Amino acid sequence: MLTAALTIIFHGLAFAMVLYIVSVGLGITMGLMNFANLAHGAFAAAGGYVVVVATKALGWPFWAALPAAFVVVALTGAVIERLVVRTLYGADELRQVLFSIALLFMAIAGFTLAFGPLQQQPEIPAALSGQIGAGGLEFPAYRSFVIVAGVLILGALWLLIGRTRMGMRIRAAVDNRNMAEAIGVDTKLLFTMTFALGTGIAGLGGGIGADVLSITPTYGQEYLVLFLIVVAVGGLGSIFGPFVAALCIGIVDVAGKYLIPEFGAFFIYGVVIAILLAKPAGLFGVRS
Amino acid sequence: MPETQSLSLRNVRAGYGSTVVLEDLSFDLPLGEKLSVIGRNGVGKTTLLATIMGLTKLHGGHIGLGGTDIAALRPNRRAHAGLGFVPQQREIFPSLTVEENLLVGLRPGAWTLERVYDLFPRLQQRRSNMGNQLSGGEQQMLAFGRALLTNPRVLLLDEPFEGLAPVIVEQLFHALLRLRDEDQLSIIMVEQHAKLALAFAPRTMVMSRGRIAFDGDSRTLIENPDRLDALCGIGATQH
Repeated sequence: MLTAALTIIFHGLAFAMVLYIVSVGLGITMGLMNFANLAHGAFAAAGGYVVVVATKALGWPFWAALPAAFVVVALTGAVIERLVVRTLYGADELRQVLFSIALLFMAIAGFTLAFGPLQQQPEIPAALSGQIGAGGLEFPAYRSFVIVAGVLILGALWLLIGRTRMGMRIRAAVDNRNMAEAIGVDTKLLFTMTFALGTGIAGLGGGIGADVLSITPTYGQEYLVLFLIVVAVGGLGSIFGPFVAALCIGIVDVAGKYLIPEFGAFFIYGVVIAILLAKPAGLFGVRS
Repeated sequence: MPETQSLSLRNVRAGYGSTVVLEDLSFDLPLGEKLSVIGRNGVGKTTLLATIMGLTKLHGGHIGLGGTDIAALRPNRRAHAGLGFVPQQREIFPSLTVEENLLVGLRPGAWTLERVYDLFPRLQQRRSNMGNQLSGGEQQMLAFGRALLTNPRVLLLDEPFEGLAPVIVEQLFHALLRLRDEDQLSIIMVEQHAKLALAFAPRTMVMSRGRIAFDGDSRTLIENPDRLDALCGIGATQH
């Protein structure tokens, strides 16, 4: 019984960390720019493909491929923000949704053309391929790495958003964009940087989490609802909210599928509905 | 525009969207001068400050700051050019602490965190509280401090005493008088309380229907309550 509980918690944590790493950037950009980016998952998939190409085709070490995924996807995000997304700030939700859905489907078509329809796996270093023992139990090393990476990214984001001038300005702009502008914050530049950061972290999440959420062309579409749930339950513009939401969703989902698989995703959506009824702005949201 | 003019408006027409609120407005604010703006509700006083700050649609005219035309600049560039803004609703950032609210727009200059804490000691006591945990008076002090720490050349104050208890108004007014007497900052204060406005600045502008109805020595209106009533509405002298 204890072994089963620990197994559920471990795999739930690994799943939760991938959800968190991919979704947290979406929460920040939605909170800051009020832009419903349904193509966010495509940036995560792009990060996954960067790691696949870097480790398999280019022979790069996995540890060098991960920062490359962040940089490539962040730069791509910055270009897309400057060229297109910027024109949609303040637009009605339907236009934003149609644009980002179109971007998502274009990405799916592009990934299929470039990498084929099948799932891709990056080259994992030997140190992460086996099992690690703890308290008489064995845990997959790679998933242990995913859990540690999720916690480290939470810490790094907490430092960035909570302890730096840029983070202070991001929080101020999330609270009140006009007032932030009126005290001298260049919100246009801040938006580009934040969009790049958010998509870059998603790309990193796609690379780190390739073993948990497989990299396929339809990745962004397949897991979109989960990413949106993490953001909605956690709260827009929050760093900790999506972390707590991802933990709830990851562990409840794994527990439900492990213990009563016939109920499918019943529990996860039940939890979501209950939380949003009680707290419409999410657990830590600035606004709904 | 001469360098001695810190702010200059020429034939300014502005409003919200296609609606024009300010009609052909022109005035100069010399370096270090303090100006009160009064008038009935809805005559365009708040729109005037919002227009100077770049938060409305400018339909025509020029706005100069220290010899530079800032009419085409975004609000953040105007802030860097030397405008400080204390909005009517204070608009404190709720997810920032008091000290973060003060530091978020900090630019080098004569105003430092220590100097703001000296002017408003209450803010130092509340430095670790979140912006949304403050009383109305504390929020107003914070809005003042936040604007001062951008080290502006011109400070724009929009109804700073609105909705505050008389004892808080007295404290804030005392701080403003200290600012007026000790600092070379140019200040435009929009205010409903005519008595406070006239007592604060040696020069007062009265607005009516988006235009300037009076611009002159505050004493003229203090000594002539009937004229003040005629310009601002019956009972203006009672406030």
